[in-house]
Amino acid sequence: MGRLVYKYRFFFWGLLLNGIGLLTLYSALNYKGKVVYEMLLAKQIIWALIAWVVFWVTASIDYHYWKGVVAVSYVLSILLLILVLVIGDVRYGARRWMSIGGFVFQPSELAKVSFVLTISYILSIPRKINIKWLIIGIILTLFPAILIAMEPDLGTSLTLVPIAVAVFLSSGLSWRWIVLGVFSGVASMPIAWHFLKDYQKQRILVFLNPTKDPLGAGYTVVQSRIAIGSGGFWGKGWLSGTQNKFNFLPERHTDFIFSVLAEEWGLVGSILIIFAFASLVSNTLALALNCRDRFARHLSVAIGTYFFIHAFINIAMTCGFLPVVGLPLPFMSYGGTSLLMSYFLLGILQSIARDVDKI
Amino acid sequence: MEKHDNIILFNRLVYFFWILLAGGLIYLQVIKYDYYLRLSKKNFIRRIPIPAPRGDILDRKLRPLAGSKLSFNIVINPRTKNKENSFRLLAKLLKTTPKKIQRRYRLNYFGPYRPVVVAREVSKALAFKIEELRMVYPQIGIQPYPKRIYSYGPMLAHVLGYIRAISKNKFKRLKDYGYKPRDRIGAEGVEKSYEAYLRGRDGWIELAVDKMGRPVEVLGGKDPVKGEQLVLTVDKDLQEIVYGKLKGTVGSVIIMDPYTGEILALANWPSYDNNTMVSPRSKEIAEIFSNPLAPMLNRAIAGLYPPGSTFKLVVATAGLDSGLITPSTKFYCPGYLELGGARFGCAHIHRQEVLEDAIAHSCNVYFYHVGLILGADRIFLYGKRFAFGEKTGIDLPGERGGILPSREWKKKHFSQPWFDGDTLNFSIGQGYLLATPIQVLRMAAAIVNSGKMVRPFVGLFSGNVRINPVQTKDLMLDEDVLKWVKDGMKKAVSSPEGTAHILADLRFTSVAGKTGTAQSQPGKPAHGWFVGYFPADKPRYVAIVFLEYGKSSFFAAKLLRSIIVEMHKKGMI
Repeated sequence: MGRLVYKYRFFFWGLLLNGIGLLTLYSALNYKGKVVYEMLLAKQIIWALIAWVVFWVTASIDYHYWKGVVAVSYVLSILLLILVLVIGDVRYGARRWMSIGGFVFQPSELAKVSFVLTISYILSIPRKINIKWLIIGIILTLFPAILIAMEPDLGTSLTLVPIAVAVFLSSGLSWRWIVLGVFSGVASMPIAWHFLKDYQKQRILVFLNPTKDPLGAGYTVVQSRIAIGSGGFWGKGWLSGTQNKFNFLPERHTDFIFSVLAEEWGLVGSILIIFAFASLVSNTLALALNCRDRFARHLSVAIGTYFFIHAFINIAMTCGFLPVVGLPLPFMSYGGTSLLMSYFLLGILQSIARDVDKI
Repeated sequence: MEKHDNIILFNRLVYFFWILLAGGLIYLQVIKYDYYLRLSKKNFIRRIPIPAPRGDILDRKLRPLAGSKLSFNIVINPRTKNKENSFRLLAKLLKTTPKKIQRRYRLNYFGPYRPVVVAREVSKALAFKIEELRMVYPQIGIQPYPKRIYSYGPMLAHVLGYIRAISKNKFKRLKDYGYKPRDRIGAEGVEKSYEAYLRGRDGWIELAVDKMGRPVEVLGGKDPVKGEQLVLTVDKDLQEIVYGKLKGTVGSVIIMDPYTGEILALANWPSYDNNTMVSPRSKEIAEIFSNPLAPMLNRAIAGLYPPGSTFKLVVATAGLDSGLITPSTKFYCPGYLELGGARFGCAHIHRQEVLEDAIAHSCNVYFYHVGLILGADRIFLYGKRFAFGEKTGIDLPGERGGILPSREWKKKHFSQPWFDGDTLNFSIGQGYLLATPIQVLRMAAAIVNSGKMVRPFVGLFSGNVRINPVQTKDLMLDEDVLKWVKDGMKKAVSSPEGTAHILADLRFTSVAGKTGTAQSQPGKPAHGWFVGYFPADKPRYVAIVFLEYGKSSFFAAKLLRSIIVEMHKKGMI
């Protein structure tokens, strides 16, 4: 049993988070004792079933196969990102969604995964990174990052940076350079401020002082914090979160699903979620250490960073420790694209693990 | 290997961030738990007060005089966005402008969790309409509340009084007794004096509401408790007669039980509609306050007038009781008395008179002589015994005590010695002496009730409990003395020369009493008084009629006559 869990450890953590996520989603969609948006719950379960198939299919494919599709997927994702800027649906003042025959998805979700594959592959070409490959890497990062930022979706765009940085580290870039980069990044922030949209500035200002405008932009953060804080150690109980069931939490089935969980399951629940994500990321980075293949190592590091950066930013944002950005919590937030991509990445990890664990 | 070291370093960095995040969650969920729990409760729990109706007020035969009627206010929930929408919607429904609604909102805003009243006493139809609209516009709502209704308006306004919003100062004093800002509190009449009995205890309901303020479930509550019922000594039918007859003439009429002090009727004219005072009709309220005839003034207990010849009853009692005169003491009335070169007048030339005739004819000269024999000090002492210059202690707010002058009083207020002329004026109830109708009435009641002076009251029962025991004070007067005085009062009616002879021709009852025509300010008509009791041989009622600038006591006696006739028609006598 333990061996089986170990063998499928990545799938195990995904499944655990996915299961808790569905329970939380059930609660979040409950109003006056009824599930009001049965469709959403049903959809998410169907997405989960599809995603599990995606995992098994991906796990059974040799990960080297993905080297062959890197170029196509990268170019395709760039084209989609350009396309969404032209014909995408505007929601909440941003052009992030695209619908193809009733199927709505975010090209940026695809772009993130495609970027994980691309950056891992490109930097697996040289034995060790040098200035030329660093520049290539940075350029490959900037293309999708800028396009996503133009939607505008600064949050998603910025997730590409840590993934790129992690892969640079994995390919031997000295951490001193990284520190230098971070410093120059911080130094350039005042200049970047001018390029931010008004609502982004507003969000950052509200983040610094969330109670300033409780019914306006800061409302989400304030209510989310109240939900999490009032959950206490043991939580208010499943289906019993007052912030949740009396509708004080906006976006609670998508980006703010964690506040529902923290309110109803308390510190016990939220630590469990952090533990699950930390274990998944830690297992992934441990896998990277055992990889002989550069591509496999970069992929593991990139995927680990992908999960880390999503979980960390999402939870920190619901707690009000970071500004509100539109990042879903992997495996838990409602949304098909994100779920499919997460399981797809788990599938790749499983495929790498099959290789590495043999040794 | 550098690459591996990098990954290990990166892994540590990741762990560091996870620990940071866990620490943040411990901070929120453990350290700041109480704070956020309080905020979450504040979020979804709404405590809605349910105002308790005040106790009903009934007459002595348990007929309703004041009660409560369910009314509806329109409120706006302050914790909502888009108040302009609510203002616009309500403006349309109430046929006014959004600006006016907004102004009322700002005026009545109290705190973020208290619904703000923007329209009072709307129709039931509109209230139902708004309840329906709540599903779409949860920010507006209806607040039901029991509105005070006074069944007879002006007829009983001076007895019942009215209620109004508590003032800031009063609230500061009373907040420990469960009063809340903007509560209504008795402002006049028994509404004020029996506030503690009439006031109900408000209830509340605690609701869980959603983000839009829509109630989701009931968490708990307490039912409001209606205030205690108050039964008055007043007889509604008698009050109706009295007010009906007085209407149109400025003055007061009081009818009382001489043995207990129960006020059976108390009316003033002009009066005001106390229903106006509890309504949102500020213009009409302003009119009441600016009326030059002062309809808010309860003349019966707070109007100060010279009692005139009615005071001769006190002087007569004083003369007889002190033994300085007897019923057969005679004085000659040539129509005036000369003192220190000044002439003190009388209404007629009465010639030789004994006490009985002097009372019946209200001869000033006779009482000038009695006054001079008694001296101002003795008149003062007897006036004090009849409690002039003191409040009667009636259970109605705003009573005044009047002035009973003395040598000391005059020295203090005018820095002048007392002259014999002052004594003469004092003897006939003029000069510095000022009294309220209720004081004069009580004096007469004491003469009727064997020298036992009652404390008048209007509050009989609260629930089933008697609230005012009969309180009497024995004035220690000889029964003979009182009989001689009463003989004079009887003769005032029965004798053809009596000042109240107009009351003589009632076949079904006999009346006894004393008239008074009191000089008011120079150049203004005199006040008319009549104080008396009936039936004369076996008194059941003691009554006073006071007519402000009523020219003569004749009209006062005539008014009482019409009241008694009406009482007979209604079978009360």
